[in-house]
Amino acid sequence: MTLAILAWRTLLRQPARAVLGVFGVAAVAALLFDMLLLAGGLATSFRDLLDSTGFDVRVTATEALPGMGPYLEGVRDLVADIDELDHVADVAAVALGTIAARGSEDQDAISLPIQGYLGTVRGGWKVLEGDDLPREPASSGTVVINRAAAEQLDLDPGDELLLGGLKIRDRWSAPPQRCRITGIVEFVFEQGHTPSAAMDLDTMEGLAGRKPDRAAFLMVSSAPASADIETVQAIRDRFPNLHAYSNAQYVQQFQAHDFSYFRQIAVVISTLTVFFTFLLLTALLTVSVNQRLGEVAGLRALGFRRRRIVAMLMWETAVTVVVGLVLAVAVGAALAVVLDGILHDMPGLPDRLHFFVYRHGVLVRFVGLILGTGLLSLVYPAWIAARLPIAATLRKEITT
Amino acid sequence: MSRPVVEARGLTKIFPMPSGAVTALQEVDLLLDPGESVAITGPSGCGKSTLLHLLGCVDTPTSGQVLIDGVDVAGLNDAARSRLRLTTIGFVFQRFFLLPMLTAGENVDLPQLEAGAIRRDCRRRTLELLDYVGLADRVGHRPSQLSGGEMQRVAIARALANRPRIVLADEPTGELDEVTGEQIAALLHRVHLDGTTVLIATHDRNLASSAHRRLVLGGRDHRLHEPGVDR
Repeated sequence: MTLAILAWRTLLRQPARAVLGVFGVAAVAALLFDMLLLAGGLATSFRDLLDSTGFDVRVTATEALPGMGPYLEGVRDLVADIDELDHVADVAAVALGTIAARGSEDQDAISLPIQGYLGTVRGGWKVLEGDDLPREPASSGTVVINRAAAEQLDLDPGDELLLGGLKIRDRWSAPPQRCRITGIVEFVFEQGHTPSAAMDLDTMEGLAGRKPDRAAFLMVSSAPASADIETVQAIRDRFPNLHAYSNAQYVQQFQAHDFSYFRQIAVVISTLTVFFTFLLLTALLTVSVNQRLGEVAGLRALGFRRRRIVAMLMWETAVTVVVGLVLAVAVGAALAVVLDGILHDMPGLPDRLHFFVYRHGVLVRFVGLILGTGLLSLVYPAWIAARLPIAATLRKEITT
Repeated sequence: MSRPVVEARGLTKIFPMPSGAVTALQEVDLLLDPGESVAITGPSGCGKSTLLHLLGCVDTPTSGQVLIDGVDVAGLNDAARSRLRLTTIGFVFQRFFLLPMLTAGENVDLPQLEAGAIRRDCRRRTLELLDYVGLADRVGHRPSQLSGGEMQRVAIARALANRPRIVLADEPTGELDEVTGEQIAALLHRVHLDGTTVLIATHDRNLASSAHRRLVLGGRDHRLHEPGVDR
C-alpha cells in the first residue's frame, strides 16, 4: 500500500468533497491560466502581426506611433538612402489616406481608407482572390481591396474602382479616377468590416493630383547577416532626426504604455486567484485533517512517522491539484476563446490581434504557481497533523 | 534472568489545566517481564490510559523513566520513538481506529509495509493473522462491513503484525457487548499464551480476570497497587 494509493482512497472516501475540491481548484486555476495568457498575450499577438509583414524595423518622423504623428518628407530620397545602408535588405514607405470610392457611377460613395506603398510592396496583406499588385512600374492604376470593400461596392477582381471625383446633383463636377482591381486581399491590420485598399504611392498621389512625396512611416527589413538592433542603430546614426525602432522595441513601448492596463489587470487578478486557490486548498485540507484526527493519532501510535503523515497529505493535495490543473487548462482555454471574442468587439482593433495568447513558458509558470500554492496550502494542515499530541487526541476521541 | 520488556520507574504525569494542575499518575513503578499478561483496573479517569500512553511512547511523563527493552525512551527522538512503536509495541484501541477506506487485510498490511516488509511476505503474514483471529474469510471486507467485535479482532491482528514484544490494549472491550467482550478477552489471552507480553487497561472484570497478574490504579495516591492492598 503506497502513500499515493492511501491518499487516493482517502479522497474517494468523501467523493463529493473531493469532486468539489477538484472543481474549485479547476475554476480558480482556469481564471489564473487566462490571466497568464492575458498578461503578455496582447504584446505577443501585436509582435506576431508586426513580424508577419516581413519587416523588422519601423521608421517615423517623431516618437508618435506610425500614422499618428507628422509625415516623413522627401520620402523617395529617404527610401533610396536607407536602402543603401549595409544593414538593410528592403525598404517600403507607407502613406495613409482616405478617399471616396464607388463601384459604379450611379452608386453611392463610401469612405475608403487607403495605404499607398513605395518600394517593396509585400507583407501587408494576403491575397484571397485574384492577383497581387503587379511589380513597379506596372502597378500604376491598380489596386487591391479587402473583402469588406468588395462586398460593400459589389466588386470582383478585374473590375474597376472609381476613386475620388465630385458629384453634384447626379452630375460629375470632377470625374473620378479609375483603378483596376487586381485582387481581393486580407490586410494584416484589418479591422472587422471596415473597407480598405492598397496601391502604390504614385497611384495614390495621382488621385490627389499632386506629389507631396510624403509617407506616414517606413518599414525596413534587415539584411540576413544583420540583427534588427544593428539596423536600427545604423538608421539612427545616418538619420539622427528620424526615429527608428525594431519590432521588439516597438512592442516594448506599447507594453509600457498602451498595453499596461491589461498587464496590471492580469497581475491583480492572478494574485487574487493564487490567494483564493491557497484559501480553498487550505480550508479543504484543514477540514479533512480535523475530521480524522483520531485516525492520524492512531497511525502515529502504530508507528507512522510525522513525515509519512505529511507525505500522505501531500499526495492528497497533489491528486486534487493535478486533476484540477488538467481541468483548469481545458476550461481556461475555452474561457479564453470566449473572453477574447468579447474584448475583440472593442472598436478599432485589428481582427488578427488577440488578447489571450498561449506563449512558451505560460504552462510552466501556471503549473509552477498552482503547485507552489498547493505546497503552501499544505503547511497549516500538515502542521496540525504532524504536531498533534497523540495521547491527548486518542483520549479526546474516546470521550467524544 | 531475562530483561523486562517494559519498566516504569517513578512515573508521574500531571496535566496542567486552567483550573489547576491535575495529577493522573504519581510515582508509578511497573515491571513487565517477557510473556507476562497484566491487567490494570481502576475506575474511569484513574489514569489507566495515561499509563498505557506513557508506556507506549505516545506521551511523555512529567517525571520518571520508561525503559523499553532496557532503552530509556526519553533519549529517543520522534522518529526513533515511532520506529519503536512500529516494531516493538502493538496498540489495541477502544475505538479500533481502523482506516475505513481500507479492507481488513489492507489494515493489517499497513504497519508491516510501513516497517519495510516485502509485499508478498506481508500478505502471507496478514492472511495468517486474520486466520489467527478467526477472520480468514473477511480479508476483503471494509470496516463498515464488519461488526464491532470483528473490527477489534482486525485491530488485534494489526497490533500483532510486526511481531511486537508487547501488546498494549486500552479498554479493548469498551465498545463491545458482554458476549463479544468475552471473545476478545479469550483472543487476548491466546495472544499471551502464544508468548507475547500483554498489558490491558480495563474496568471489565472478565477481561481483567483473564490476565496473569492484576494491578489496580487509582485512589488518592495515584499509584499502582496489588488488588486488595489498602491505600
